[in-house]
Amino acid sequence: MLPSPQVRALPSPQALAQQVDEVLGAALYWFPLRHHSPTVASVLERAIRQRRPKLLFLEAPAGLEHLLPALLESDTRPPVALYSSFRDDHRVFGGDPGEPPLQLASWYPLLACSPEYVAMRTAHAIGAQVVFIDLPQHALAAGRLQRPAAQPDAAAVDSEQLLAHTDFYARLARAAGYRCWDEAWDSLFEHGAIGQQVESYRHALAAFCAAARASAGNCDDDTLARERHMWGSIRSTLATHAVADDQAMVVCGGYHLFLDRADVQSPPAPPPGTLHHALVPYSFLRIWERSGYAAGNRAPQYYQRLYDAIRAGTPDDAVSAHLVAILRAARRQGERLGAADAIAVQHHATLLAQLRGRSRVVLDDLDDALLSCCVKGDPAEDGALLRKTALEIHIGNRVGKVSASAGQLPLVRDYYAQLDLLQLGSRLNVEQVQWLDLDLRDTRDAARSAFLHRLRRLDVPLGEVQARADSFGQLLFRERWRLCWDAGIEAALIERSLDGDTVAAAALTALARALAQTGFDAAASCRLLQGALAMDLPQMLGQAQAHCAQALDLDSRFTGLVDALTTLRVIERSVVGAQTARADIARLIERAWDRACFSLPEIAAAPRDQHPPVIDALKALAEVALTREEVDADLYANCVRSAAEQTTQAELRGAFLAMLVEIRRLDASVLASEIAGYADAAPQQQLLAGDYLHGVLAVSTTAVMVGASALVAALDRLLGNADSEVFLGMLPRLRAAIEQLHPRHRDAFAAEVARHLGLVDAPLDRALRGSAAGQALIVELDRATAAIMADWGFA
Amino acid sequence: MARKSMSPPPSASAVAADVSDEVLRQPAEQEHALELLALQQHDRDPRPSNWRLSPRAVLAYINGREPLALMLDGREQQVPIRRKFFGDAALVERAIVTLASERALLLLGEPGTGKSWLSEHLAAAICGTSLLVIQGTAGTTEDHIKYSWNIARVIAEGPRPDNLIPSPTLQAMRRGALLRFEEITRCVPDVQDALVSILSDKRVAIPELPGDSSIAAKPGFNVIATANSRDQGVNQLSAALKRRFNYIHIPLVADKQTEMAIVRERSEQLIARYSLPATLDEPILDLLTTVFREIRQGRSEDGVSLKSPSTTLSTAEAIGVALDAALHARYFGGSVDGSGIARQLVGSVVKEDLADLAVLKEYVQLVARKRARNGGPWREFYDAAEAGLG
Repeated sequence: MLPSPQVRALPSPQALAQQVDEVLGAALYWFPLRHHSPTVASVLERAIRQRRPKLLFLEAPAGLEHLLPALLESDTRPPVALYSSFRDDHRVFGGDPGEPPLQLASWYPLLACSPEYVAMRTAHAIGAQVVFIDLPQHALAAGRLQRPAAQPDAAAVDSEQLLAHTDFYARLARAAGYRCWDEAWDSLFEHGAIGQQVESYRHALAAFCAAARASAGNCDDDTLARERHMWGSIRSTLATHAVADDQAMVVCGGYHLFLDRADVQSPPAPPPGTLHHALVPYSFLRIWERSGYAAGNRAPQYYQRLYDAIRAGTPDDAVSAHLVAILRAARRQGERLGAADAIAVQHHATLLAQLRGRSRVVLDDLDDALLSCCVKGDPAEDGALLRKTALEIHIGNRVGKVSASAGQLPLVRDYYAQLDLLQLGSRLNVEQVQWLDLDLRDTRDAARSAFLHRLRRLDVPLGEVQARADSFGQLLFRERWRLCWDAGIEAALIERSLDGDTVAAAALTALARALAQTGFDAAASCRLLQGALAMDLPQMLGQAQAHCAQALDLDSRFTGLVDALTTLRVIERSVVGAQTARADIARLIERAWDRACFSLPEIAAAPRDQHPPVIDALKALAEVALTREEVDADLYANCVRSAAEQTTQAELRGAFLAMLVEIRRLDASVLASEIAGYADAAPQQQLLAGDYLHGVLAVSTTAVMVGASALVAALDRLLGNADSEVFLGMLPRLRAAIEQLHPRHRDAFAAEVARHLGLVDAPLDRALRGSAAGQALIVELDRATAAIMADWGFA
Repeated sequence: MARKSMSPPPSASAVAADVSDEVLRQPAEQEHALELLALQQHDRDPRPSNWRLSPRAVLAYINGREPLALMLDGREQQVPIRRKFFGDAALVERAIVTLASERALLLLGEPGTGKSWLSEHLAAAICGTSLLVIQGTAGTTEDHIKYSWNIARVIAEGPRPDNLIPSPTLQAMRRGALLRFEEITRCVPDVQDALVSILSDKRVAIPELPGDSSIAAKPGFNVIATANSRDQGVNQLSAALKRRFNYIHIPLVADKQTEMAIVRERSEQLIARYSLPATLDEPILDLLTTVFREIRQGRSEDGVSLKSPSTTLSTAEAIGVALDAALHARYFGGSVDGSGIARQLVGSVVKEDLADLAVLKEYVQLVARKRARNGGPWREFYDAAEAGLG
């Protein structure tokens, strides 16, 4: 919901200067900031120490101040976030009573180099009280209720986004050649401003913000509501604390420095509902992901490095150190980059900065210099690895830590206890993908698997199971998990804390709720049964099985029933030990088979966009018919034949007939004769031949392997009879039909076409690919295999 | 650019004089001499040793800027500084900075992306001459890169400095100028490697001369090489030589509007150079650019998938088609319309592989045919292509 760039005539420089002087000269001391800016953080710390205010007003969500003690504990390690969630229990935002109430969650992330974090630490050090003055997200959302066009859960527009979308900035960027807002900021107020005096820095930044705000149109409603809240909080807190203006300090986004102090309207009041506040770990990666939005940053590790270098008094070392880190990481990835390259990159970046009119190298110069000096070709291809590595180093993989004193909800505590018990905690100290291979026959691995499946049911984003087939192409006793720490883990646990005090209890509640919500959807019900088994929740098994049986009886959708059947077969293979459980599943499979077969004729009229899933389901059912002795294959064949007779869709008819050929209930020549029929039909009918062939080749390889010659002859006749308009109309589907084939089958088909057209004489004229001796050995092996197969009765 | 008037019939002496003076194409430093002079007069930024302009002024020359006042022979005139290169500005910055550094510059890209064009303009702006050029071929020898001898005089006088024939490299080293090495990957590796010591030591040893004879490069000397990315596999640079070059990859033009602007500007220049009365109207320009982009990308603007040809179909090719169509119209009648573009297109698409003819036919049938229904240039294009392709 960003405002589009606005064009408004700028006030005169004198008027702007006067406006800036008025704000900066006021008794109440205003300091502009940008999230995660090391230079702002460094100058701000000096300003606070010089001013030593009693009250420090900070642009952070009001009501979260109680998290400050835990935030400032020595064992809290940024990145962390102030987390806030709101649940609309009173239905202020509307919604049906049967549906879950609206939930709003927001994170306020902090790096060690964030000016807000530095301000809070410095205020704590000098004994100043910190007051958060921003309007909480749920109150902002309530304000939007008054405006019909507004979305209640839209994100608030950040001060920085407002600046970057003004006409003043657009013109400045054009004139100076800045390619993005980050580059402009770094040139003007980050690297270009290191070492500036507090007041000159504050003045320059305020002047920029004043010009930008003056060039923008009127403020949007969200910004106005927030500014009313900020100004109201400041005035009321000063009054209640009896603190004079000159003993306080306001730290907020530069855009808000020039808020309308005469606006006396009240901000929207927070709606009633359930609020959760917590200090949660955050990560560099998550902050990067939010880059371009409020509270994001394009290179958290780089800016943290810059902050550390500024504090150490060696700001110029940051770029060199960062460059060395990138090249070292690239070398580990196999890139041949040495010290000479580092020197060349540094030199190149310095010259680029000079050419671009900067006093110091910024990140954009460094990136460009890396491309120039280290990529020997197309950056998109030859430079892909280096660019990826550089981005990884820019971002970093640090994960924050919250002090033990912060206190945890029982569910969160159980989560961490389980992690320790199952020896998974050490894998989650950094935000990096970790692979975990589990053998479900091992007790500890089985417990790990159940725990991870329970977390998935709770929507806790810790990991995903990845399919991995064993040597027989089956998934039986092994699972491979892709684990990665995520900033949303604790937030999700907090949201679920009402479902139970332990992960197991909450998963049980969540599964029961899901079963109730699923209704009689056979596929979803069987997947829930599979989930109950995977989560090792025996209490729910009986209930889930009964639900599945009912759903199979009541759900008449063919694809859903086949999906359910497939899931049940997977469950059957993975159930170990208990014979009774296997027997129960076998009964469900039988039920699903019957219901799926009986629902088959109903798909005869399926619309065209449904054909791919229908044909896939048809094939899945055929596989059961061919591989499972217990099921009635005749039932399947009869139902397919009935569907073929009923359907008016060429593609489905092709698929049904081809399926009958595939299960050997129909001769392959029928397929060709149907195509030959199209050759003699009217042009409108001929157009459907492509669809028919598409259906045939989607299902049947036999048609290609056994009946290819007849098929090719029929196609040749069809194409010979079709005029050019019909041919062009048919062409895309004919092409798509052939492209479905496996390359080997396509080759065989092409060879048949060549034979049909008299382009090859005999199939044995091919050149040998290996040596003569090698070919002789293959022939010998072939003979021996044939002899063995003859013994087995296959020949 | 010198233009020839068509009438009245010139005298024999005038023809002789004209033939001796006229050139088909001036080097960039002469064609844009006023622009370079104006930039020089206004240039207040520091210059690297032996550079005619500061890096910022070079950037302004390449990327263009608002007109500058030039004082010439006591009179002031406004000189427009035209944009010479339409690619990414950061790419040009990186190229300029490379030339001011220890490393040489290799411009790499598909054929027709403007590598030589950029190389020529960079050399013209930085050192005032773009004529110190080695054209890389399979027959290029080390002598072409370093030096050779006047054999007759060597036989008569023995090896002396006066008898040495300097290569463009030696001339550039002596003057602190830029050497342009075109199509470097066409040279065999042994010959390419002659550059290694030149780029490292900035010196060429001449063992044939008595003593420790060598020629050292003056400050400002550097090399701009170009290489066709399709030739990378022909004679790829050795690791040692790669390290001494910064590579700047020049991509095909990404957006249609920029490509149209390039085709428009360059075609107008060429049409003027050949004194052709033709104009390239906007609908024809749009058709030409659309056809090239769609065939190149293998996808039409309407989302139809197409086969891709083996040729690059660069922007330079599109400019060539426009010029050929204008020439055809001038000498064989008609105007530059859709049919003229269609007639010239075959030569651009079908170069090495006859299978590319099928690509063009498919495009005409699947894309142009549909658009031809609305008449206009696409109708002309389709009809001419159908007739030409059979």
